[in-house]
Amino acid sequence: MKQHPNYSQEHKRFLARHKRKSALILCSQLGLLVFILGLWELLAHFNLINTLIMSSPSRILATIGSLYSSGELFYHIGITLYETLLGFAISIILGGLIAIILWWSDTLRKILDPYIVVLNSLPKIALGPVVIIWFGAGMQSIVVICVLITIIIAVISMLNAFREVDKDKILLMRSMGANKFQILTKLILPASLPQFVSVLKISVGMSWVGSIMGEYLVSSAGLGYLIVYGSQVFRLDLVMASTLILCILACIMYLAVALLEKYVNKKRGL
Amino acid sequence: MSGKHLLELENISLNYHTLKDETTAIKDITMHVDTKEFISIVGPSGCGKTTLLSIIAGILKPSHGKITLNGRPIAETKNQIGYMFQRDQLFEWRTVLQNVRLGLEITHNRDPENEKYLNELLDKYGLGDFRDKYPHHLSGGMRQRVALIRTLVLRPEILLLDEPFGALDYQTRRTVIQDVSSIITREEKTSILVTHDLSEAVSLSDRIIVLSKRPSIVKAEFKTNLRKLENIEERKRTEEYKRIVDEIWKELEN
Repeated sequence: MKQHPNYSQEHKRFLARHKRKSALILCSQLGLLVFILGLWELLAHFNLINTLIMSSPSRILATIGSLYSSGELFYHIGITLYETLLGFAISIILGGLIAIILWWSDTLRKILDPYIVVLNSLPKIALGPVVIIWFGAGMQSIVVICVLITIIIAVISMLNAFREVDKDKILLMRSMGANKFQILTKLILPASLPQFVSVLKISVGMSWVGSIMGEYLVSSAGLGYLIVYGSQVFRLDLVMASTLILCILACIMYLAVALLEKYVNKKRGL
Repeated sequence: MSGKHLLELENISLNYHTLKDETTAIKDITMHVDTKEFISIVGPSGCGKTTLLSIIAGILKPSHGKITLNGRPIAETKNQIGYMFQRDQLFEWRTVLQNVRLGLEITHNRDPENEKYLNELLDKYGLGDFRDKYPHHLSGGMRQRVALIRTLVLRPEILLLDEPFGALDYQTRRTVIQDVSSIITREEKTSILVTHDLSEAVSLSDRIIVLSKRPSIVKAEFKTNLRKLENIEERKRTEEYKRIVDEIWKELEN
């Protein structure tokens, strides 16, 4: 917000009111967090809840600290992050290519349509056991599960974006003598950029689901592994700590894409 | 009669095929357009005006009939038709300059001469200071001017205007109509306007062609001398304008 010397008193009051309200909302948000954490900690401290099951904020922090000092923390984070980013990248690149092919050939799109519908409605995790048998009990399978969960919705959303481009714009390019490749590169792809970024946003979340689900099924390292392992040996501190780290990582990635989205939309004047 | 006029349509018909039915959208339309003429096509909604434009643009193939530009079948002529739509259809991710350059990119004609012509057009029609702005920075009127220049850059023989003023608010509309009319006159372009707005049709054209409802045929034709007046509002105050609008109304009501 730029401060402008010529603002009227009324406008200045409006700005001040706006600022106060924003501050109040932020304080309340932080306050709510502190309150919940504080209450949790106090209940645990006075043994009003069973810390074996419920854990507590201080125990979670201590667990993260010990994971860090043993060097395990970044090892597990690194593995999950690697799986997620790889699955995400494959889904976007491969999904984008498939969407382009389906846009290009309307006949192919119609032929494949029922298959896409079935694949989309199928809970992809059901394919997990098959994937493990095919790709082995390792990281490969996790990445494949991650791609399976992410790619279908990415293809469908991108294809929809391509098909929603104004028909008159296509007509305009054709009247100028454009071929299909020119229509794709000069119109369809750039026109779909805002939708592409929102596909990225959805896919980030989906690939986290994919990699964690994959790790639940088959893994020997990673945050999903820590969560499953922690619950099996009844170390709820470890479960909660891993979940918290996961939460922070997913938020950072989501925020990064959201920032990209804001930038793209601003350039487009949306 | 081939070759006498710039554009000739001879017994053009178009049948639409759907699973349920076969409909004749256009039936036996014969008309011609001369160089530098401004023609309007009016008719009841759904009478196939836009279909006719698509045929002239070479995008739709007629079921029957012959259509020639400069004596050559329309399918062989490329980039001699410029199209303007109801919405300006500017590409939001391109600057004004990049937007008007689109046609040159598509046809691989980005030589210095065409670039110079493009910049001259932008300067001449008051868009020189906006070449690096994006469409959302421009007013509705300026956007439509950019759209017109985008088609002019390819030096088309004929401009097809498909209700290009339909999406504008009343005030913008008046200035845009005046702008477009002046630019077309100054650049000596041949134009075909499709519209349902009679005042637009009469005030802009040398000739108005009235189509019937489906299957559409040419029902009547009217000539005006209004284009010798530069100002559109002035044209609308003449007796001739009022008389022709009246006559077309009667024709449409029959």
